[in-house]
Amino acid sequence: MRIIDIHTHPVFFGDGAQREQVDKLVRYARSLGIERMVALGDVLYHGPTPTPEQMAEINDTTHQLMQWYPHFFIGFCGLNPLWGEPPVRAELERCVAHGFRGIKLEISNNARDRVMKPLMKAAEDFGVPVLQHTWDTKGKAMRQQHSDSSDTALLARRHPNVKVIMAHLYGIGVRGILEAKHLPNLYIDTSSCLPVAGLVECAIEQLGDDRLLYGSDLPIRELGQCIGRVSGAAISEAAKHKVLFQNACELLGGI
Amino acid sequence: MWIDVNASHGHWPFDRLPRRTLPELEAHLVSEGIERALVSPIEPLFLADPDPSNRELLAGCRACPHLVPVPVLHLGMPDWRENLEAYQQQTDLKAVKLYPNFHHYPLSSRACRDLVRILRDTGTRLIVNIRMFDERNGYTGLKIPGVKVKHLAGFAERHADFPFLCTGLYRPEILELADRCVDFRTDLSFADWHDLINQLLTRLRPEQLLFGSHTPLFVTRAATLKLELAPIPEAIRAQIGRENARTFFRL
Repeated sequence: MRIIDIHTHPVFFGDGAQREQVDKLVRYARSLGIERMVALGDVLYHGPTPTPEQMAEINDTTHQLMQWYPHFFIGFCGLNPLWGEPPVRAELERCVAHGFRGIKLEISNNARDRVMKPLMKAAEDFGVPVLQHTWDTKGKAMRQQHSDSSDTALLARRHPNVKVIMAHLYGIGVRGILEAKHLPNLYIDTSSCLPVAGLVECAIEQLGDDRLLYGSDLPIRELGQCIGRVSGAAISEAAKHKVLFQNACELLGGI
Repeated sequence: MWIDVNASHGHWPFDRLPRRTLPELEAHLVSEGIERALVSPIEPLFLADPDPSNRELLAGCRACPHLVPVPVLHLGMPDWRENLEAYQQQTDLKAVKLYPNFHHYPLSSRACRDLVRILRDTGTRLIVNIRMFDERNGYTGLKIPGVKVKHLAGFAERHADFPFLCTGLYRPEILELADRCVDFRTDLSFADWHDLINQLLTRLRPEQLLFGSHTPLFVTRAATLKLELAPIPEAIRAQIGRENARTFFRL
């Protein structure tokens, strides 16, 4: 079983950054068949709206992981859309030069806000995907910062030339799947929450087997549990391979 | 092969889940490497009287040797003692299960005290279900919070010599309860974190942890792989996955 984990935080609130901790994690993950981990950074270490300097520090930590294990960690850089275009573009350019291959957006703002436009333009120019934290926040005050699936779907609809990954299948549920149904540039990752039966099957039924990506949200989730929710789903073996490996491989332009 | 202490049978109306007969549930669990499973009916969560569902379960499990029936008691109903006595006469009853948050009675009730006394006398084990779903993601029309840790701790303090099993605790709740209670058991179906079991074992004894899948609401293999792929010694894996249940429930 070959696996690419599209959603991990190997360093989480400062924990996990030591070399021996990273060695142990990589050794364990490889023993499970995980060939690559997309490291999204310690994105909330400085709170929901980090400054450019704070985010650069977070991205440098991810870069350190990439340097230690260049054939295992793939970096997505954190950005804060509220900075405006020049700092966003500058940090993205710096990270891409370091080998980062995507953008991670957390909870600085909602994905439907106008401040997203220059960031998405930069993503398109650099040809990198955007992984957007998403949750079922419809009707909740937290939606101002925690994008609902309808917000992330709107982002993908506005920017059809950018590949957008809507995080947290189990946090967005069936409504999130249906929001993504007719948007070919919108992917969903399987990370986080508890392994409710039937959701992977529903996603494959509604989206086909090309747009679902395996993710764990490590360290918040146990890797075995996260693998099991896909490998134990009632879908074809070919679909499992695509979700666990092939779809992410193609999205990332190969590993 | 594992022993699953948290499985259910029946229709859960809030998610599109596999619908299985008891023989189909048994076949599914065995195919996932589960040699025995403690199974309770789902229907009593939504009905005032759990007895008809319990009787169906007890009858159906006679033809399913891998399934151990665990009737649900509704302590807010007047006839739970009669029902319990009938179940004990019908079968070698290993355990009964409570859903205090669905049935709206406190763990400090007189009925709970009476139940503990009866179970202690008869050697039947008690399972307290904490939750059936993640409150952050459940169906919007279903607002049933989990049983509070302070209520579990109070129950444990009142019945200090009566070990019981909780199913459906989150990891932080397990750790909080561990600070306040020395002799509870918990399944791992709702507990999650990287290297979960080793973390829990820094605060709990191995005999306090039991394998539970929460089938059919959760993907069964998510639970089996959580155990099978955990970086723990094989003896601990066997203890959590099988031996603790065998000892606790006298299987």
